[in-house]
Order: sequence, then structure tokens, then C-alpha cells
Amino acid sequence: MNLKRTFKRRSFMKVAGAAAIGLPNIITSNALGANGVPAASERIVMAGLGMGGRGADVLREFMSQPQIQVVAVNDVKSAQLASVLGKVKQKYGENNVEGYEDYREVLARDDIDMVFCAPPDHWHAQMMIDACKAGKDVLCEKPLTLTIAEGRKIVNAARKYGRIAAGGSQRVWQDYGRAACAANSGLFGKVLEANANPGGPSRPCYLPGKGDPKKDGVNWDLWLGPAPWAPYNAYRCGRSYGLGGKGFRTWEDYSGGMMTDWGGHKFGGAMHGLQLEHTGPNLITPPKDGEPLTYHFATGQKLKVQGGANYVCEGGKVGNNTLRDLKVPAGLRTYKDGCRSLVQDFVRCVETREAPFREVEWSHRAATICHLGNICLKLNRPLKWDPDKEDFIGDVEASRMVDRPRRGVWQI
Amino acid sequence: MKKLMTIFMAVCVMARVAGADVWEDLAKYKMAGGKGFPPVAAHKVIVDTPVAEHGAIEEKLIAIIESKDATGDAKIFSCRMLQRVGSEKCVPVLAKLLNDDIMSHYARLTLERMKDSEAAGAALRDGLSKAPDKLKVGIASSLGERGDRKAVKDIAKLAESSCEASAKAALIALGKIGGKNAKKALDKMKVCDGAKDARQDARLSVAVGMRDTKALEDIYKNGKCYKHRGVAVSGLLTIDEGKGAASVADIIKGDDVRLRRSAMRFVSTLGGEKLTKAICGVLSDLPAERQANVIALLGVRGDKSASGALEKYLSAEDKSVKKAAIKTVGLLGDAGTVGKLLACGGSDKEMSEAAARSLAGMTDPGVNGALVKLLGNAESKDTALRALVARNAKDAVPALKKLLTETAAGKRSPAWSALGSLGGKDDLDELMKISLASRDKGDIRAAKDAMKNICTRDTDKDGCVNVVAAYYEKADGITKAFILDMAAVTGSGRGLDLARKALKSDDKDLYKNAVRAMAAWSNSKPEKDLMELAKSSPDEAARILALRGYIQMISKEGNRQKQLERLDVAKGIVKRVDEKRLLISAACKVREDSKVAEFLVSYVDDAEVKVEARKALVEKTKRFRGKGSQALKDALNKIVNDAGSDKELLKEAKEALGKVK
Repeated sequence: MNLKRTFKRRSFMKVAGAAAIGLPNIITSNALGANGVPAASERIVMAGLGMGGRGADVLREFMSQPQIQVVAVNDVKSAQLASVLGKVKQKYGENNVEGYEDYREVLARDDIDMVFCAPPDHWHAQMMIDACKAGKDVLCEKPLTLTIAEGRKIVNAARKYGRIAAGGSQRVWQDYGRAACAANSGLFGKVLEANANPGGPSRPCYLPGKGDPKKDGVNWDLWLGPAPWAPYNAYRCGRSYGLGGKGFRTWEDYSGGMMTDWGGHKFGGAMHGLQLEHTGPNLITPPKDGEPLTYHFATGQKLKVQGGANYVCEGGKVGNNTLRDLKVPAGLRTYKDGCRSLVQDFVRCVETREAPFREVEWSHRAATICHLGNICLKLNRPLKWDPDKEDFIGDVEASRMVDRPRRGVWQI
Repeated sequence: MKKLMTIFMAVCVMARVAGADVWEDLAKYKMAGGKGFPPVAAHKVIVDTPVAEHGAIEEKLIAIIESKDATGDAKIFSCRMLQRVGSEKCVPVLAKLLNDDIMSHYARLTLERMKDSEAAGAALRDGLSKAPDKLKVGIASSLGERGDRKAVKDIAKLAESSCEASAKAALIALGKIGGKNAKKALDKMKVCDGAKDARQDARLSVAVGMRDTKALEDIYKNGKCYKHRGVAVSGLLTIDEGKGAASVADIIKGDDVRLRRSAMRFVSTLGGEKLTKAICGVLSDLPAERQANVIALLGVRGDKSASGALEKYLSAEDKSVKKAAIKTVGLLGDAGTVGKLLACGGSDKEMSEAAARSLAGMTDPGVNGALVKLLGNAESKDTALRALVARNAKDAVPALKKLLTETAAGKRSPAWSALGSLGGKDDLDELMKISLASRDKGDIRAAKDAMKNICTRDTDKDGCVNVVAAYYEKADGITKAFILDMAAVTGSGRGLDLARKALKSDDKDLYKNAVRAMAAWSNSKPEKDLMELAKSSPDEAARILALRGYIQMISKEGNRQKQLERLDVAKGIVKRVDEKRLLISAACKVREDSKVAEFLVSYVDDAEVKVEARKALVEKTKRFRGKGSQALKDALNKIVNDAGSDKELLKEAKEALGKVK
């Protein structure tokens, strides 16, 4: 790959110059701490990487936090980049925000403390690990990974570099927290099973090349990144949601499909309520004889891929509306005191260095559940899994699916 | 249509599998418009074939890759399938692809993942030495992923590339491979400026792999970059915790903010008891803000050995430090620390709340017992009670009942409150007896609230009412009223019988209390009773009370049709302005927007309530479905014409009018 083409040296130098003197180009009254906004020295300087639809939404929530100052945004699609850049500039001023096509230029900036990543799934591991290496704390949209092995590498990088790293999914708490609280309230006995159904897996892409990425404003080589080379087709890299063939989530080179996309929420919620976020199953069985895809845990608990977000307890089925009086039971994780969202929780932890609600190990374990489900569906046979070694037991074919080689220079 | 297409596609696939040669079709395959029949059919064959027979499929795939006539797309697909079914047999075939611009990556899909195959490793090493420069980086990365030490020399050459990205990828590979040769190569090589950080990263990875504490200490002490110094410390923590712990303690005391942020994260994620001890050891040297932060991190760390060292901070003067200590000691402590947590709350409300929260989160099974034992301590009793409630400590109920009997009537409302939250149906009888023996008004009020709370929570509503109903006949008027209140809370049928009986009483107060209870009933069971009372009670106050109760019951239960019927019934008898307002408000709660809108039309010109009615009508009409009546349109036009300066109402009324048209 021709790096010179993707690096915009001129813009980098401009920013580096600003960073070197350590102040934004224009010192606003806000910068000095007026209007209830923390002084610049107390602010968290952040960037948004891969800021398409969902990314821009979450970035807006970051921007509403008084201690946050967004100074850079990145996307490989020029229209998306222009759109998000305009919105960020509206908030922080024309000269205080830079747009980048290549996220590496953003990570090279020394003035940035933290990044939020929301590119397509095949980029998550690369960006998160590169962010950790660059000394940035990092929150990444769900699903955390494209493969199981990527997750462990992200966790290791976060530990090694001492970073706050977390996966997305506001729904784990906000949508499924009530059910998890009810199930763990002790009023219904032991939690035996969880039910959750995120939807189907992605599939191979057979789309032929079509169109010109330059005309569409896409840096195609950079969009593909670690994924295998493929001819450009707008439907490969589209943002259309679901598995309809018009967005990247349909294709297995870039995503695990709804299984990983909604799985980040639903399996994340299910594992949280089972209080098994820190481990994984030891057996996965494919759908058979009316039984759904099922994860079996060493504790005897099960996660079944069916129905809504609910739990089967000794005392009956428990859902979001089972208890009116919501109390968080002892031992069940939740957002930090006073935090009302995943973003607030993460920002708090960047300040205090505590573990965020969706701490990267737990996010990795939830993503692993999704990938295990996809592999089990693909092989259509029961699979034994070692949650400590994070490998299949006695199944070479399955073990080969734990990771995928990455293209060219995109190594983690 | 979609379903038909799906069935058609499935039939096509099945026909292919059963009939013509799937592999011949696959060999001719070109990606086209998503019609991927040959690959889908081939995939199905693989899924349907037992693993032991995958060798035959591998041969078919190899044949496609070797074929001069097969398309590129077919070869790519075959490589993808070999990642799953390939064995040593496919290695030489894939090795030849490593030099190909596009196919090189697809060949690596299998070669990289065949972890135990020496032949695959040899093929990749050979490929690295022969492939064009631009393909070398991918091959080197695969070798790195395999941890192939025989490849160090060639990868090291690549790491000296002037292409920054290639050099970085090669350095990552060397870091993964590790070992003496990688170390030597890293020390000796010259890398471009942009790859210097990556080289230091690789050195650190190799040092950790070789358990080279000396190298790590050197980088920590003499390194210039905070990131690498931090990584050196995390490495030390994993291979020589004592040295790592001392470094973390130094950093936490020090002034390098960025390095400290990394080290603070290590506190909650790495190391064992030695690190815990080192951190506790420097706590007293830290400024208060940092002290509080580190104490909180020790809680996240979860090493119980810190608990003892932190107890002294329970009496810290700085509030943030004290609060952090209270929280952390709760996270790390056991039943033995309960007394200390209770004591530190004292009379300071903020601290006693923090202590109650901390106690609520403790996981040691002995905590409830320890709290119960300390209920006798007057200073901390309220905190202990709050903690027991928050812990849902049902096993504390006997002790709480004992506490009631041992405490003076005027001072036991916290105990009543706790019993209300923790008690159940089986406790009601005893609580009833205690409350009947009391003469203190405040105490009786607290007892009633507690028993109501139990009745609200318990699922056996009739059972709860049966317990208290046993006292009804012999009870005085106040107690009867209380029993009726409880019946209203439960909505129980047995309770309703009692209320009906009370309506026949000559005791006017009891009669009114029965009406009041029915008006507040938690379900719609007394619907008919209330309407009857509203129409024909001899007592005017009772009529008003009953009508209000009926109106409030409108949207409580039943389907929408039933609720609309209740609206009409109530409309027939409401007269007073406050009743009309209540009715309009109740109508708004009925989720049948179109019909409710029509219902509200009749109040649009009612001078007493037209303001409320017009707003409600507009609100409901905004969600209107279907065709509205002429009366509704006229009413909305009237609202538009009369809106005057109320611009918001005007805008919304116009919007509503648009919905109706």
C-alpha cells in the first residue's frame, strides 16, 4: 500500500504545530473555564475514529459532557467525514477541530487523551490496539471484534499499556438491566438460564466490482484495511442495517452479522444477568430437534438463542417488567454512581482509572459468545470450548476459525 | 415475493448438489450480482460431509486452484474453504500462491492457521524469501502469528524497510516471535524514524517473553517515552512482581501525570499481593485527592489483603478519602469489618449513608448476622437497618421483630420500616398483635405503613387480607379502617367483602372509611359498588368520594372498549367542575385516541373546563387514526379560530385538524 497517499502530511504538520504549543488555535472563554465548563487543563481531549452514522450519534453524547473536548474526527468516506466534522466544529469552533482520512494521523497526535471508535467491525481490533499503543484510552462500538483471538489481543494491549478500554452497548444496562436486577434479586432463586436472540450470521460476499470508489468519495484500500482485498462495490461498504445485502454487516469479511451486532447487546445483557461476563461456555450445541443454539456453562447455567431478554430462575421466568422497584443487587455490576449512560460511565473511568461498565475483558467475552455461535452454526455440530485457553477442544476446523490472517501492513 | 425467491434459490441449490458436478460449476464461477449458487452449493456439500471425509473435498479444491481454466473467483473461494478443510496436502499448492498479488493473502488464510504444520511454516519462510517486497509484510506477519523463530533473520531484514508501515508490521511479528535471536536482531537493526517506537515495543515484548527483568528495569528507569516506561512496568509486574510493584508505587507518588495514569490502571488490573502491599505502603504519602482515587482503585482491584491497611482511613479527616475508604472496605471486607463500617458513619448523615451503601454491597454471607448482632447499638442502629433492607436480608426478620418488642413504642419506626420492606405474609399476624398493643400514634402509623408495604409486595393478596381480617370483628373503628385500607392496597376479593359489609354498618365513620377504601382500591373490582354509591349514597361526601374513585378507576383495568364505556357512564353523572377535570384527565389516559377525541368534543364549549378539554382534544387528535366526525372537525376549527395569541395551541390545533382531514 502506498502510505504517502493516505497520510496527509500537511494537515498532520498543522495539527502537530498546534499541539506543540499546547493550546487550541483560539482561546475561548470556555477554554479558560467559564460557563461551568472545566478549564482546558482539566478537560479530556478526544477524537472520534470511523465516524459514520452510529459513531456520529455517540460522539454527540460525548460532546455533551462538559469535560470533553473533541479535537479530531476521522472517516475514510469523505461525505461522512465532512458531515461529522461540520457538527463538531459547530460545537468547538471552526479552528479547533481537524478532520482526517487516516486514523493513524489522529493517533500520532500527542494532545489526545482518548478516542472513540465506530468503524465497521473488521477495523475494531486494529484501531483499539493502535490506540492503546499510542497511549490513548479507548471506547469502541460493539461488537468488539471480528474474531475471537482479536478480543484477547485487545485485552492484552489494554493491560500492557495501562489503558481504560471498553466496548460499546448501552443496551446491556439500559435495556436489559432491569431483567438482570430482577433475576439476581434473590427473590426468584438461582438464575438457571438466559434467553436472547440477536439474529442471524453474516455470509460470504459474492458481489462483483461495481462503481468507482474515488467518485463515491471512499478511500477503498483504507476502508478494506485488514480485510482481504475485494473489488469496490458500494454495497460492500454500505451502512444499510441488517442482512439485506446492502451494508457491510451482511458480509463475513467485515462483520459477524446480526449475531455479533445485536449479540453485543443481547448476549452482553444475558451474560451480565447470569454473572458470567468473565468467562465463557464449555459447550455450544447447534439447533436440533426443536432446541435452539445453546451455550452450556460449567456452572450448569445455559444461554439459549431464543425469545426475548429474560431469565429462567428456579422461581420462574423473569423479565424487564418483573420488578417495579428496581434495586441493584449486591455483586451485579452497573454504571458508576451518578452516571446515567455508558458514555458517562466511560468518561468517569478515564478520569478515575476504574473499570468501566463494559470493561474490555467483559466486552470480549460477550463478543466471543457471538463468534462461537456463528462458528457453531457454520459447522453445525456440538463444539467443546475451553474458556481459559480460548480455543476449541479436539476440533481442528473450529480452531482455525478462532482467528483470521490480516492483510498486508494491518497487523496487531 | 421474497419468500418465493428464497424457495426458488433453495431449490436451485439443492438441484445443483444432487445433480451436476458442484466442483465443475465452482471452477467456472465468477462473482456476479450476488447470485452465488456455485459457492453456496459447494459450501453445502462441505457442511453435509462428515469431517473424516473432508480429504476428498480438499482434493477437489486443490484441483480448482491448480487448474489453468478455473476463474480467479473460484480459486479465492477454494482457498477460503481450505482454511477449514485443508491438510498438509494443500500446502505446496498454496505455497505457490504466496507470490501472487491477490492470492497471496488467500493462501495465508490456511497456512497461517495450520499451527501445527511444519510444512506450512516452511512454505511461509520460503515465500518470505522469494515474494515481491509488497507481499513480504503479510507473509512475515503470518510467521509472527505462528511464532516461527526460524524466520527471524528474514523478518528482521524487512523491519529495516524504508516503508514505515511495513517496518512496523515486521517489528510486531518479531515481538510476537521473541527469543534471543529476535532480541539480537532488534538491538542491531537500524529502522526508519517512524518505526522507532514500534522497535521499542517489540523489544519490550521480547524482554517480557524472555523474562528479562534487567532490560525492563533499564527501559523503565532510563526510557524517555512514558508509554514504553509504562509497558516495562507492566512487564515487570508479570514476571517479577516485587520489582514491578516498587516501580508502580514510585510512579504513583511521582509527578509524571501520563505515566501515573497508566500505573493507576495497573493497580486495578495487574499483579498480586505484593503490588497491593506496595500501594498500601505509599498511600500515606499521597495528597488527599490522589489518596482517595487510589483507595477506590484498590476496591476495584479486589485484593482482600488490602482491607486491614485501609481501615485506618475510615476515620480520615478528608471526606473524599473517608468515603473512598468506606466504599473500598465494604468491597474487600467481611463480616468482621461490619462493626467498623457502622462505627465510621457516626452522626454524619452523608457518611452513614455511604456506610449503609457499602454494607449493602458486601458479599460475605456472614454480613447479615453481623449487622443483626449490632442492632442493639443505638448510634448505628438506623444505618444497620438501612443496610439490612438494601441487602434484602429476610433472615433478619426474626431479629427485627424482637427489636420491635424490645424498643419503646415511640422509637421504633425505623424497625417498622425495615420490617415493611423485608417481612412477608407469615409475619403479619405477629406484627398485627404488636401494633394493636401500641398506644403511640406515630408508632401505629409506622406499623400500618409497614403492613401495607408487606401486603403490596406479597403475591398472596387474599392470604395477607385473611390474616388481618381475622382481627376485624373485634377491632375498634380505627383498626377496622386500617384493615380496609390494607384490603384496598391488595385489591383482594376477601377484602372487598369486608368493605361491602362495612357499607351496611350503622357506624357512619366506618361507612365513610369503607367508601374511602373502595375509592382507593388497587383494581377495578369495586367498580359497580362505586357507581352505585356515586348515584345513590345518602351521604353527599360519600357520593363525591365514590365518583372520584370511579373516575380514577377508568383506565386501571379492562380493555379499551371497557374503559370507554366507563367514561360514558361517568359522564352521565359528573356535575362539579373538579369532577369534570378529573374525567378529562382520566380520558387522556385511555389509549384509544380517536374515540377519546370524539368523547372530548362535548366539553369543548363547557365554560368551566374548556381550556383543559381543548388542550386534551388537540393532544388526542394529533394521534388520530381514521376519519373524524363532523363534530370533531367543527370543534377543532373552533379551537383554531379561538386560539388567538396562544401560538402553540394554534399550531398544534392546525396539526390536529390536518390529521382529521
